[in-house]
Amino acid sequence: MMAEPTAPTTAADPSSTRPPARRRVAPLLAPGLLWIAVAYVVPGLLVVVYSFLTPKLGGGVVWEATLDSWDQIVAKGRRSTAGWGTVGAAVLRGAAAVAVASVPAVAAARYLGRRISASLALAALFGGLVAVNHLASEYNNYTAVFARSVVWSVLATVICIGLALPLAVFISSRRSPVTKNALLIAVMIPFWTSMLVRTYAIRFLFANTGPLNNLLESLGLDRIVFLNTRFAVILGLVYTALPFMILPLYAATERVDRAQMEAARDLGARPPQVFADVFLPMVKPGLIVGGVMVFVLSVSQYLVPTLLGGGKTNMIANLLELQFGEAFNWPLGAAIAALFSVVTLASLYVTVGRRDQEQFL
Amino acid sequence: MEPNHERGTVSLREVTKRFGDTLAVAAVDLEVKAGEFISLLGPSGCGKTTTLRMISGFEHPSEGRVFISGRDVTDTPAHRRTVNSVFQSYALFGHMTVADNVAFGLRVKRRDKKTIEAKVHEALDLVQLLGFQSRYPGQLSGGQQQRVALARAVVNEPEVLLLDEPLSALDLKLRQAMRFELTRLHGDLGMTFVFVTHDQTEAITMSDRIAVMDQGRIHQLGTPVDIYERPASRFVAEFIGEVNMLEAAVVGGDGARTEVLLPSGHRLTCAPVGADGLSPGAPVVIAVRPQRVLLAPEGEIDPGGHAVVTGELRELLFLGDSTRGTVRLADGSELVATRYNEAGTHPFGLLRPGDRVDAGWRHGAACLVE
Repeated sequence: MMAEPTAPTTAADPSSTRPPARRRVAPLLAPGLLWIAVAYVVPGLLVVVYSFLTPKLGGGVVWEATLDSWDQIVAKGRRSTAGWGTVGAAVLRGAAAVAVASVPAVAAARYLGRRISASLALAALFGGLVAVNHLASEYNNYTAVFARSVVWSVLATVICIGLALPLAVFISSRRSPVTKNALLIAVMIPFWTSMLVRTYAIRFLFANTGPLNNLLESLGLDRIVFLNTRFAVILGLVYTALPFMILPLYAATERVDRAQMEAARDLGARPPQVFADVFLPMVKPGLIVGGVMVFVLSVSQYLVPTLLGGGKTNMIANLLELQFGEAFNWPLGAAIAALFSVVTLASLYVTVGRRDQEQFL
Repeated sequence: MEPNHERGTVSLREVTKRFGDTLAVAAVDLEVKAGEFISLLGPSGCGKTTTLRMISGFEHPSEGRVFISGRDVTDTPAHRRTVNSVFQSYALFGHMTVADNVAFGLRVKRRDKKTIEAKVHEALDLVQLLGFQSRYPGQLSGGQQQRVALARAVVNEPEVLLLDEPLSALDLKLRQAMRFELTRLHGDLGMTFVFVTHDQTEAITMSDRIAVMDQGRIHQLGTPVDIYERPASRFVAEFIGEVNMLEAAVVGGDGARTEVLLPSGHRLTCAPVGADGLSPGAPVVIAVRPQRVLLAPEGEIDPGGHAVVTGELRELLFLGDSTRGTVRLADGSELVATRYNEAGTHPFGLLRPGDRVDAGWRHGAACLVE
């Protein structure tokens, strides 16, 4: 073609082009970027710096560099309050969990025509969680607190997905927009009240002498000790984070292409296969966004483990409160916070950081 | 009647579908022959897609039975029916490569890996998309996506292939090319094709038979020639191609011919097609295609072999390949005649707008409907 030789020259000529888009939108980005710098980056760096300073009596820091805080973390991480027997028990429990979980996992893989290795990996992950959970309940050091926070948050995320997915599908399959909006508002109603009040309400409801236990007793059943248990904390985490799972999942299910699901049926896929092979991949962006939000919210929860878990050092936030509030050891608190950020980022990277970036963005 | 048990036949028996108070399909009877290319043609909302979805299993008939290859599949869920569909929106799986899309049906049926690979290769070869295996649907053009959708369906060797307006999302040139492609595929595969469209040209050029539908009913079922030349109703005549409609009343006739009187006072002889046993005085419509209408100066068309009416030539419109003349009759009704343009000559001779003209057509070129 005649035009071809001239085309590259025109495209490469910088003098005739308008300013690049980057430069033109810079004024719009500036306030947001400034905010991120002031509110996130500077304090974040400050936390890292503080972790290398000397604690000042009554709070604050003395500007003298030391590795004491990190030494303490490593020491407290190692120090065990239980023996090898506990480790063995944890390994046994984990192995048993893998064995139990792999039966349905393999069955599901065969039924769906998927590779068995992937479902075995899921079973192994489950076993690992069970083992870590056992260790975390027996040990009482920093490692245990970190492990417990991650395990409980993973559990809360999984439970949230299980609860939110049917709800999201139900809401998005309503025909009338009025019904849809009413249901979505219902999902958001908890946000209208302070979280503190809501958590106290749960405490009251499930207390040993609360309405639920009174009801059980009047039915001739035994009272249940609910408060200050692991179960109470996980339920609290789920309760608090559930809307953050429902909303992105709802947005994802709204965009599901029903024709693709019909196409899968048309090609002979049974309903569970349509769900696994076509529906789940389509809502995956919503699962990732919701999963990240629920996990991040849960792993940093302070109120729920404090009010429902009995005020012990259940989760990382309790540990931080202890260092900053009661022990007045700011550098140690800063070191824990820095490590906490690393653990969170690592958890996110392992689960969603690599291959799903494209869909996530 | 016992349904035909030959592989690839479809029988609809008194099939009705209601959505709430809306009657989408009303007691449709249809026998699709094995290996046939049949089109369901009609305007949007005529029930053609609902009919197709009752064959594919996505809709359950409110009444009536559906048979595929002689088996009653009315209560068989979609995933257990031996038919496959090509969807209007293609409905390709966006998270899977082209090869995985095509392999999907074979994978859920747990065919072995080698067979799947060979069949996917064969299907992609058939639609000329070899080399695109590892692309994603989002990286393909509309026409390519269309062909992937075709390959994904035919790779399963269905007894019947169902196509729901598969060409409507393509641009004109591509649509024309895909028409030939589909006809070729139908010839190569020997599969029964049930094709839903609102485009009469698509239906006429590709089908063995056409079922013209409106308001949930099949108005006429026949070959493209039948449908075009001998429309059974005013709706069919108007829906397929351009046609002149002249209101008239029966005044006499026998089994071989019908005498009708036009409001303009003209008395015409017509073929009795589609109007046997019409009693004198019954209202009818004369349907005649514009290219069959001759125009000539008044008194010059032989009334022996032709039906002739007279009127005033209102306008001549140059359309590029043809010219279109409009004649107004005494009662104000209008008649359109078209003629192909030949190099160097005027298609309607020396006729000019305002002239008194004869408009006529051979007996047999027009038919009576209603």
